Order: sequence, then C-alpha cells, then structure tokens
Amino acid sequence: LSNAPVPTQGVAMREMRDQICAFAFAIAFGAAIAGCTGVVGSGDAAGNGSTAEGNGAAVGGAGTPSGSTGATGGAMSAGDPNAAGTMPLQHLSQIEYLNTVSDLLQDTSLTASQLPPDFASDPDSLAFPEPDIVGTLAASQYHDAAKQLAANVKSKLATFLPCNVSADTACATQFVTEFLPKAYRRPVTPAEIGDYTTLYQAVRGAPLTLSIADAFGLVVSAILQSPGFLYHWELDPTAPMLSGSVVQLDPYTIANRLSYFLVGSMPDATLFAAAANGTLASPDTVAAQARRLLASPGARVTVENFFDDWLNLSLASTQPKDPDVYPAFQSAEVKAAAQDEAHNFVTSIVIDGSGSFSELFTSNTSTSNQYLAPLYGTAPRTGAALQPVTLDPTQRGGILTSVAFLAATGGADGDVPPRRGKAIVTRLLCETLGNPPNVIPTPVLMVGTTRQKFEEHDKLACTQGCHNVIEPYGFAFEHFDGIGQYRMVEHIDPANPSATLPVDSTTTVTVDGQAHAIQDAIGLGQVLAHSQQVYGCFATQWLRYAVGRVDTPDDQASINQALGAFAAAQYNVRDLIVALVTSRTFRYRTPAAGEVLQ
Amino acid sequence: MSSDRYSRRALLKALGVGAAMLPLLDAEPAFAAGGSAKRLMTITWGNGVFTPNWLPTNADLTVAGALPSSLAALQPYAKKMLVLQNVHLQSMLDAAMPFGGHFSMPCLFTGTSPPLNGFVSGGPSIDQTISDALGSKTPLLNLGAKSDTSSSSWAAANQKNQLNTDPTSVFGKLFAGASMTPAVISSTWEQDKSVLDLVYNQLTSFSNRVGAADKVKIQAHMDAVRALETQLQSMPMLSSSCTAPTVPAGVSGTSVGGASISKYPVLVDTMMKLAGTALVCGAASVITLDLMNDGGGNDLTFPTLGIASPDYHAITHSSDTLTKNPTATVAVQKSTIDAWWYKNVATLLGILDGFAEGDGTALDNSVIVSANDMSIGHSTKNIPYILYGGAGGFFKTGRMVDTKGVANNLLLTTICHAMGLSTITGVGAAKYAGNIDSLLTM
Repeated sequence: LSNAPVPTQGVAMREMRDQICAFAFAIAFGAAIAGCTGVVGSGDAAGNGSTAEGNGAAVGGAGTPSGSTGATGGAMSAGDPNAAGTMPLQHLSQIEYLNTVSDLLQDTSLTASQLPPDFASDPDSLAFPEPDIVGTLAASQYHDAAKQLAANVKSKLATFLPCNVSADTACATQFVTEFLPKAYRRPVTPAEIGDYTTLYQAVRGAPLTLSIADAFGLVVSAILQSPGFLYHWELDPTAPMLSGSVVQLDPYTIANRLSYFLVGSMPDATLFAAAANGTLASPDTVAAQARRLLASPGARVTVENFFDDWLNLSLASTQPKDPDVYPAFQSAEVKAAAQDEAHNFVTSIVIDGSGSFSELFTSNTSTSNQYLAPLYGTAPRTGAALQPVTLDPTQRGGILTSVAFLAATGGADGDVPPRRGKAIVTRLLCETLGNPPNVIPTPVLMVGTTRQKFEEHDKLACTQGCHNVIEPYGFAFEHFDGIGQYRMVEHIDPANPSATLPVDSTTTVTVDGQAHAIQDAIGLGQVLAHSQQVYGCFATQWLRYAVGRVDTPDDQASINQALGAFAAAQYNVRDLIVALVTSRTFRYRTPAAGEVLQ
Repeated sequence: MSSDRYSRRALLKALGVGAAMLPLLDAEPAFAAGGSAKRLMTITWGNGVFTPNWLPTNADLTVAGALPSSLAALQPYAKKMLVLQNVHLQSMLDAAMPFGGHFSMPCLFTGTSPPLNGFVSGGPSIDQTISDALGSKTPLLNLGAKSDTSSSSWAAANQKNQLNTDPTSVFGKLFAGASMTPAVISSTWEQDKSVLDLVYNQLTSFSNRVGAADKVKIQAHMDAVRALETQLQSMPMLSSSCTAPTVPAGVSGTSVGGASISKYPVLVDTMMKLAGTALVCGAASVITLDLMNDGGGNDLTFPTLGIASPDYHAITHSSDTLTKNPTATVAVQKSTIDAWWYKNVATLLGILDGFAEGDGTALDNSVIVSANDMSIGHSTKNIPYILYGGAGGFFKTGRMVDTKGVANNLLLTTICHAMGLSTITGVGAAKYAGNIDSLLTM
C-alpha cells in the first residue's frame, strides 16, 4: 500500500485522469487506513507482548494501556518494584555489527547491505527494528562477512597479532587468549579458548596443511561466526543466579547492555574495567558510566537513530514524492539535508543543549542550507553546509514541524492527515488502534481541501474506529503540504489549478484525558510538550529502545521510577536515559520459560 | 508454545523423514511413487492481472490464438502449460479476508491465512517442504527482485525465508566454483566445513542455556548453518558443460525503488537467467523468486515500458473498473505490464526447454509455477496460477483447467505429488486436504 501520485504527464485522456485521481485518493485513504493497524495485547514469539488493555481507539478514554505508563493520562499502575522484564535473545543489529568490528578489528570495509537486515516486527508498538532470526541467507552473509574481515586481518597479521607469528601454535594460543574475551565481550573459559586453538592446529595439519596466515584467518573467521560474537546474551561459564524471582545481570552483561544501548557498539576499555572490578553492580557506577558514554560521539548517533526510528524520520529520504507536484523534493541533497537538520535539531537539545524535553516540541532554532531555505521560506542560503537559523515562530516549533517529519508523514502528492495523526497517536501518546476495514471505500468528494475530503470520508461508518480518532491530530498540520512547506491556501481541483481555499488547522485533540482546542501544529506542540501522557510514552519508548523489546507489566515500576527522576530533573532527557539504565528492569531480568537456572 | 510450531523438523517427522536427515549432505533425492519432477521453481508478483487480456480464449492452449496478449510470450510453451481457473485462497476466505490481496503473498504457497493485515504465514511453504524432504544436495534458493516486506517462501509458521536480491551474491553462491580448480574447491569446502561444524556445535551448547522461545531461534540458526554447508558443498557439483550467465554491471544492489527502477528490468532478467541456469546445471533444485510487492508509489512505475506514470498500483485499480473495455488506455497499460512479467517467465522457460534431458527437455521434468497474489479488486478468489512443465509426465499440459473453485491447498498438495512426495495428503489445515486430479495425466 502506498500513495499514488496524481498523474500529470503521459496521460492523454481526461476521463482516465479523473479516474486515476479518484483511485489515487482511494489509495491514499488505503495507505492511511492500513497504517492504522494496531495490535492490542499482542505477543511475540518470546512471549513479550504489549499488554495494552482496552481499545486504543478511545484516546484519553477508559482504556489504560497497563504496559505503557501514563499513556492515557489516567492513573498509573505502581508495578512490582522487585520485578524486571525478560531479556529475549537477539543477535547484533546491522549497525551494532559494523560498529563492533570497527572497534574490535579497526575494520570499516563492510557495508550494512552485506549483513542481514533488521526486521520491523510491529512498527506500531515497537518504534524500532529488531534483528530477525538467523536464516540461511543471514548465516551466509555472516559467513561471507567473516571471511572478508579475516582476509583483512591476514593482510596485517604482523601488526595485528600480539606475538611473533613464527611461534605458530604458541602465538595462536596467545592470540586467542587475548582476542576472544574482546570478541565475546566477556571472560572466556579454557574450553572456549581450546575450541579455536584446536581448530588452528587441525587446519595446520594434514590434510589441509594451511599456512600460518591462513590458519589465523580461519580462526578469526570462526570467532566472528560464533554465537559468542553474534548474540547478546549472558554466556559466561556460570549459570545465571536467581535473586528472588529475577536474575541479576552480571557486570559484563550490564556493560554490554549499556554500551550497545548508548553507543551502539562493544564496551570500551573503561567499561570493561568497571565490569572487571565489579563496580558495575552499583547503580551509581552505572549512572556515572552512562553519563560518560552520553558525552561520547557514539551517543550522538544513538540519539539520532532513536528519533529516526521513533518518528520514522528516515522515511523523508525514501518516501517517494511526485516530481510534478513536488519538484523541490527530488534530489538526494534536499532529502539528506532534511534528515541532517532533524539530527542536528535533536542532538543540539538532547546532547549539546539543555536536554529539555519541551524544547523538542517548541523550539524554533534549527539549521538550514541552500536546499532547505526554500522549503522553510527563510532567506536564501548558499552551500550545502547547515547553518543556524531562527524559523518563523508563528509557523514552526519543534521536531513535528520539521521538514523531515512532515515529509516523512506526507503523501506522494499531498498531505495525508491520518498519517500525521497516527504518528501522534501511536508514537507520542502510545495508543493502539484497531484494524482497518478490508474494503477501502470509494471517495465521495473529489474537489476540496484535503481536510474537506477526509472529513467527508469520515462520515462513512467504516471510518469510525480509526480515522475519526487520529485525524483531529492530523488536521493540526493542515498548514503544511506533503513536504512540509507552509501554506495558507490549498489548491482544491486538479482540473482547475487556480482554484484555492484557505486551509483550516483548528482542531480539538484529547491529551491527558482532556480536550484541548488548538489552532495549529504550534498549539499541538505546546500541548504535547507539557503532557504527562507524552512524558510516559516517551519514557516507555526509550525503555523499549534500551532493552530491545516491548514493555510488559514487569517494567512498570522501573518506568515509574524513571519518570520520577525525569520530573525531578525538570524533564531533562539525559536524566531520563540515566534513570532508565539504572532501573531494575535494565539491570535484572525475568528468567525465560524453560531456562536452566541455579 | 511448542518449539515444534516453529521448526520444520516437526513437519519432517510428520512426513516420516527423520530430523537427523537435515544435516545429511550426501543423500540423493529419493522420489516416492507419483510424479518424478526433478526441480521446482515458484515465481510470484503482486497487484493482480488484467483478466480480459490474460484469460485464454480456448481451453486447449495449443489452438492458435488461445493465448491472449498478456500471455503472448508464452506461446512457444503453450503445450507445456496448465492455466488454472477458480483456485481460491480458501484459508483467507474462511478467515473473512475476501479482499485481502495486499496481504496474501504468504498464503500462495503455504495454504495458510495470514492474520488480518499481517504479512506472515501460518506454516511452511511447499518449496521448503519439498526441498527438505528431497534431502537434495542443493538447498532451497530464495531469490528476490524486491524488498522482503512480504515473501512467498516460509521455513515454518512466522519464519520467513530471506530473499537474496543481489545478483552478484547469487552468482557467487551458485557459480563461483566453476572458475576454481578441484583442489581449491576441495580445500575451501573443508575449511568452511571445519568452521561451520564448530559454529554448529557451539550453537548446540548455547541452546542448552536459553529458554524455550530462544531455543527456537537457536534451532533456526543451526538449521541455517547446515543449509549453508549444503550450499557451499554444492558449488563444485556444477558441470563443466554449464555456462554461467553474466551479471551486468550496475545491477547488483538494485531493487525496486527510486532511481533504480530504470534498472529493474535488467535485474529481473538477470535473476531469471541465474535461476534457469542453476536449475538446468544442478546448482539448485528448488527456487523461489519474488518479483514485486503489491502497492504503488513513484518507485513502482515502468518507465522502460513507456509507463512512467501513474504508478503500478493506481493502474491496477483503474484497470479493475475497465474489465469491459480492454482497449482503454489504463487497461492497455496494465496488460503491457502483465505481458512483460510473462515475457520474463518465458526467458526462464526458454533456458529449461533448451536443455535436453532424457527424451525431452529439462522443462518437461520440472514444475514451474507463476502466481499473483490476488485477482481483481484485491480479491483472494480465482488466483492466476499457471503451471509450466510436465513434471516428468505427471501433468497433462496444454490446457486451461477450471477447478470449479478449489482451495489453493489442493494445488499445493498436487505439486508436492508431482515432486514425488506422494505420501502428503494435504497442505495447511486438515480440512483443505486433497489434490486436483483433473490436472493429472490419467
């Protein structure tokens, strides 16, 4: 399902053009409706389901998602303070793999396309992709990647090895003993070392009789394909120990969890040292390490990635735009600029600035270049470098009025209020939506503003459960077209280009269980920026990002604790992140069904 | 939840094939009574067909003019085809999804309904079942010329087989061994095997530590490692008489989307040639090829066919309303695209039919299936399935057969029989058991 452009070239027959317009509109509806798909109370294979109860369509109503703190602004469950969520097995994501081999081998020769793709399992409830299972193609990709990396190691063997290569088996033993704990990111057993020294000796001998360099390469290749390298899991020699009904994560697992969450790669030497000396068992040490990592370059990318995933900002680069309708949004340069500006915006607040949550939805200070200036209607710029700019405060305020968000949620040939509304409802309010109908209705109004068309459509019975819920939020963005350009009027008839009508962005939205009459997206941003419901949802989304799964009731007490710290810090995002990584659900886990424990 | 639900080992047990057979690398296919087809390939794409220019005008496909314009490229193979009518995705109909065509790709070869608006299957697809049961030296090969949002191939319920969309990668997997000396091939294989055996053993130990749900993931990884071993070992089996196709420059890494749409025809053509050559040269026995998702947008246009706008989805919807006017511009556009798909299928058929085998050709001993995941208006009824190849005389070809409204499960069972899996009584839910006798040579 996708938006279809209104054809403007290559179509001769007027009759057909009208028909296509009709169907394009229907398809736009279809795309929006399909986007309403939500899962209430669903679970994944590991039993880690969203536990939202009630009908998410009733925004602000009685249905309180018990697994999402404050998602409807109602009373929150206190949760069990001794509980912690599960830790389902996952392998390294694409970016984690690339970052890890960069840190481990100083090798940046691989590209993401050479690795198994990450898998968006349920975009509505989980705002970020998670790695899929390792199938045959994925195993093949890991195999090929490992061989490529091993070949590169062979080419620099003399400087890579900690010993003289001529020592042969003795050097191999030393190499594995020193290298394996880094690759596995934890202490290793003699048996695990023995796996590789045995392999080395075997291939050095008959019948293969590999050269020393080839044998070292094979060992590196094997290590990089092993579960110890590929998976995130407690694999240390001792079985996990129960602490009450949960398992306290060992210091190395915490170090890994912290590092992959905050910088997307393996722990650095400082973090390894903290794991080795046992201080990571202390929440204070975890907090100190988190603050240290948040100041590192890797955290900047993590924050960018979080907002990309949370708000689907990367769609701004990939969402097709009709070249006849939006010629200004065709080049790779303008699409890259839109995403870079959004990245700059969020990191300037979360990493470099005040950390203020409300600024994310209200600030009109951003950056611009020659490609973005026309879209923002600001003074012309020269050059591709993004420079500071102050945007018109009557038009822009916060990430939701950025070109990136508006283009990502815009259609191919126009704005689509349900898409923007759905983003607000599912991603900022943590509401779930019902399923769309199977049959997409024929549009009933072909001439009018976008809002008029959708309002007419919304009179149909089949729209009651979804469009009528999400569109009030989407209508707040009616001053923005499909690529985020501000407008006061809208063209209403493809057959009559001079026909326009003023746009209407006034709407009433329900947030924190209360109705808010707002004028436009600026007003919506103000409401969202100071909403308990959005605070709770934002904390939940970060928790999901941190632990790599959907939240469960076992996370509730931890989320509450983090929200308390968030409020105490005047809603500083950095403090929220630190509070989450020191929470019980980040440092402990519920044993999995069927798991062998001591 | 039982781990068996996710493991095709459970299916193999049900078929009487021991789980221990999975890593068996040296077994020859053991065909049971029934058909004796040597190879299977499924080809799938979306957005339906424009029926007035697709439906044969005569049930005897060998009659001149029986194949309409959309199928014109298939004329040389008319006597080796079976065009099916009224095969329904019954499991989706029974799940109240009569217009669920945008989500039906997982159902085409599994016979199981996805959840409402979901892209997952409820069981394995027959390509996986057949590949596993044959114990072939060559593993299942899943190819794509599209993103793998959806897939026609499933290892098990909820376990989608990933598509290799990179022709250079596919070439390397299938044919790179052709340029190596036997000694190099042997050494490379032994090295790879030593590594993969170690990985397999580590995964086995690892599996003992995790919970039930994670064991399923580890088992899938272990299955993948064994399949990879099979794949790597098959490389030296390539006959020296086989000529590997070339992969044109600039086509790797392309897929449907943005500027690369101009290269899409080359990508599809290359995949067809790689697949066809792999089949006749014994580099693969079971292949799936997913060509295009449902949907539209500017990236799903056909500028190389002179149709840069509107997009494929919009054309399809518009043409749906013009079934009584097949000469209208949009109907012609849809039919032009349909004809292009089948022209590419004909490229594959040409490779198989040009390869002498026994008293006939490789095509005569194969089962090739093309399918679209919907018919007009997103309907999950009357799916446009076409079979090509006689399956070693199993099928009575050269005909259009009206099945009078059977579940696609029966077709899938029949294909399993054609591939020699005669003990299979049904695919999918038990209530859809049975086959389609009217397709067979009696």
